[in-house]
Formats: sequence, structure tokens, C-alpha cells
Amino acid sequence: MSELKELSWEVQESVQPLPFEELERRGLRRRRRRRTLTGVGVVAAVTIAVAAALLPLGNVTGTEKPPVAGITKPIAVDQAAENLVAGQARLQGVIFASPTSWVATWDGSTGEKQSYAAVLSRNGVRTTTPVRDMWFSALKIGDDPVAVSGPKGDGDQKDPTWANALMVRLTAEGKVEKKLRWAAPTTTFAENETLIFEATHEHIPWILNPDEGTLRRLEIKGTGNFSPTVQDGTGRWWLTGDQGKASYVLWTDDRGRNWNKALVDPSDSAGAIGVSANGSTVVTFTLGVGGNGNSVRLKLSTDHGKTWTTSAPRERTWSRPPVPLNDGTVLLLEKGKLVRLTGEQVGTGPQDGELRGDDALLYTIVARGNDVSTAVALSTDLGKTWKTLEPR
Amino acid sequence: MADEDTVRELYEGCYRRLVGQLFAVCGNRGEAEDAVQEAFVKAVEKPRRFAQVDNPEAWLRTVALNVLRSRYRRATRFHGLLSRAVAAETTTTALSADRVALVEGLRQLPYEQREAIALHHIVDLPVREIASQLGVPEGTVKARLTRGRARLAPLVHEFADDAEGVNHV
Repeated sequence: MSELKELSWEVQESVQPLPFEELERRGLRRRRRRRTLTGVGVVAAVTIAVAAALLPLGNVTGTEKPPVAGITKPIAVDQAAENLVAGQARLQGVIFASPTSWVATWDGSTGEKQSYAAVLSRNGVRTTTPVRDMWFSALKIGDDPVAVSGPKGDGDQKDPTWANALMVRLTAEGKVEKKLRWAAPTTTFAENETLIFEATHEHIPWILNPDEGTLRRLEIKGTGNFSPTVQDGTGRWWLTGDQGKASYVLWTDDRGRNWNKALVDPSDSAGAIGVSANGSTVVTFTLGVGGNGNSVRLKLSTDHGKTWTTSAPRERTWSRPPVPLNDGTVLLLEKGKLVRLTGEQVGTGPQDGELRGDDALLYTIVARGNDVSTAVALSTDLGKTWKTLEPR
Repeated sequence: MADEDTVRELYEGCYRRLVGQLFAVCGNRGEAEDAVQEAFVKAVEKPRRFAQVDNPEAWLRTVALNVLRSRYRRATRFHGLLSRAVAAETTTTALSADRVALVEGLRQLPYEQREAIALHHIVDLPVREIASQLGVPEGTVKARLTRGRARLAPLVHEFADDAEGVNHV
């Protein structure tokens, strides 16, 4: 028997299964809830159908809102995507390009079938992507919400799953849907291009050219194990990565021609990076020995990366980077409290969730158990008040 | 009731085996158990669909893998990094030092390589079936297996042979 089978065998021998009745109760409870929701859904669908027949919505059908001033093209409804996001899908991610412009990615996988879609909204105009069996990544280009579903295979030139790769962008003029194709890896990128981290299963930075409809790998010499890329208001791109055993904050002002770096830790990887809207405040954290992350250090700059400080080891109570603000302070969401690094409480927040945003808008997906997050909590007053939105 | 009895029999017959298989993918017994339990809950929740499945154990494994993959992606997005994003739990599983090293080696692989290695070398699925289950081309599965085996070669004897020219695919 191989070592792998022996490992699997040893683990299964040590497992003590829960009583089946416990799982059965959970399954039956969900079945009852699903039947109730299905009934509610039928009533809602009938109501929408009646309203669509009676109200003057012009060329727009289904649940799409009519175009607002400036948008002339009617947007067709993708019913499969509408069904996915209206059903029991789980909210995977959300990005706000502005308080009235966002993209939300949904996982509607049921059983063995994987299916994903995204909803894009821009100043009251809403649309969806088509359904794909590869997840969507959310990003923003200016004020435009954008969703990208990359190739499901390895993303090399011969990968046949490029045929399903696409980008959907909601601009001031309307919806732009573009197939994506492979392009050769490079070390630099152009002004009209943007970096995207989760385009494929391989978590590396990719360069999206939204005009040509291409994705290509960004190569940074000697660097691997990347964090998601972040662009600040000055146009500078930031990320963390490993060079040998050491981890660094890396940034470029000239689209990859030159990279600056600051050591995060000589022997530990760095987590994701947070950058304030104006780029002045930058924060990342070490992941902790073995990735457990129970005792970590924060790396902080309050002068756009010129100088850095490293905190003493502290317990990590967050999973995304804390949110840096323009004034050099950093916010953490800890068990329902919004606090500065100093411990000073500035507001409240959801009990759990990964805080994102900036001075103008803080938001977090509201966690409800393991797999059923459907809402995002928003605050425009640094946590003094919150409202909830279901971005679908 | 017959449907629930079928699920119960499967639970008694293959729950532990599925946990053992998924452990190789996530390196954490608790996470593996959560994912497999979720698959059984789905089977109870949708008995008609489950009754139409040709190979119930394969269905449960695929559902559990989808649960793992979804949670893994969530974790990587929040933490930002791949291999070190999932907490190790090898110490509480009472494994020997060799096994702990193997689990660590698996955890250093990209998730998709681990998945392919577990399905091919523990579950014994052929490449074509793995490709079908994961919805990726066969060439992608072969590439993931080759890369994963190369990196595990110091820890797994049969992969060391593979590195010397034996083709397992």
C-alpha cells in the first residue's frame, strides 16, 4: 500500500462519526425550509410577471430595471443567472466601485454541479453575467463594476476552457460582455490594463486588458506565493509575495517596469495587503508559523511606503487585512466592535465578517453560518450606523 | 423512509473512508468531516435527486470536494495566500512523524494538485473520470498529477520511481 493510502487509512480509522440522526435532522430541516422558500418564490415570480405585463417598461423585460439617463442600450435578461442568484446561492464576494456601483459574485453550486454567476449594478442599472462552471472574480475599473470568469483548466495557451472565459463590465453606456483569450506572459502592463488575482485556480496576478479581451500572467522575477493585488488612488499597485523564505511588500508606480520592496518577515509569509484610498496608509500582516496565524505581526506604513514599522506579536482576530484610512489610522472589526489598532473603539459592526472599504464606505459580507451568506453590511459613517443590502 | 435508510447505510459504510480521502486534500480532519457531513445532509435534503444517482459514494465525494473547494477559495481570498492559508491540524490526529511530513508536503501543493493526487492515488480514479468530475480537460489533470508527484517524490516512494521514468497516468 502506498504512503498516501496508508495516510488515508490511518485517518479513517481514527474517525468517530456523529450519530446519523443529527445529520438527518439537519437535512430534513433544510428540506422543509426549501419547500417554504419555493412557495414564496412562486408567489414572487407570479407577482413580477403580472407587474411586467402591466407596467410600461419599454424594451426591458424580466427583472431588469429600465435604463437611466445616459444608458441607451436595453439589457437582456439572462434567466438562468437570475434563477441562480434568486435561489439558494451563497454570496462569495462583493466589491464596491462607488457607493452606488458594485459587483457581487454568487456560488449557486448544488450537489455535484458547480455553477456561478455575478450581479453588477451601476447607479441603479443592474445586470447579471451568464452562468459559468468557473467562479467569477469581482473587480472595478474606475467606477465600472467588472466580473471575470477565467479558464477552469490550467490557463496555459492550449487550455480548451478558455472558450468559456469572459468578462462582463457595466459602463455608463451599458453592459459590455467580452470573451477572454490567452496572451503571452509579460513583466509589464499598460495604462488601460488592470491586475486581477483570482482569474484562475492558480492564485497569481493576471493582467486583464478589457479592450482587447485578453488575460496574461504577470511575472515578477524571483517572487511567488502572492497576495491579491491592490491599486491605490495614485495609481500605484501593491501586493505581498515571497522571495526565498522571506516575504515582502512590493509596489510599482510604472506598471511593472520597476518594483520597490519592503521586508515583512525573513522567514514567514505575509497575508493580504490593505491600502487606504489615497495610498498613504498601507498595512499587511505575517501569517504566523505554519500559517496558523494565532500570533502575528503587523507591518504598517503611514507615508506611502517610505518608512515602515512592525508591531509586536499580537493575537490575530481578523482574517482580511485591517482597513487603513487616509489619516494613517487602521480599523479592525473585532467581535462586533470597530476599533483602531490602539484598541480605541470608534463604532460597532457585525459580529463576524471580513471588513473592506475605505474612509467613505466600509462593508463586510454578513456571515450566517458556514455557507449561506447572502447579504452585505454597509457603513458610510465609519461604523456608527450600518445598513444591510442583498446584492442580487 | 426507504431513502433515508439508504443514506444511513451509506453513512455507516463509507463516511470514514470519505473523510480519510478528503483529509489528504485539506490536511485537516475537522474540515474533512465537515465537508463529508455536508454531503450527507444534502443527500437527506434532496432524496429524489439522490435516489437517481448511479454511484452514491462518488456523488457524496464530489459534493464534499465542492464544499471543501468553496471554503478553501474563501479562505485564500481572505488570507491572500494559498498553501499556508489553511491551518494545520496534524498534531491532533496522532500521526507518525512520516505521516505528518507527508501531510505538510501535501499542504505545500496548490489545492488543485492535491485534489488530483488524492483522487488518482487514494481513490484510484482514472484520469478521464477525474477530468469529468472536476470539469477540466484530461490534459489539465495529467499536468496537475505530474507536478504534484514531482514535488511529493521525496516523501512518497512510488513517486520517486515515477521521477525515474515510470508513467502512472
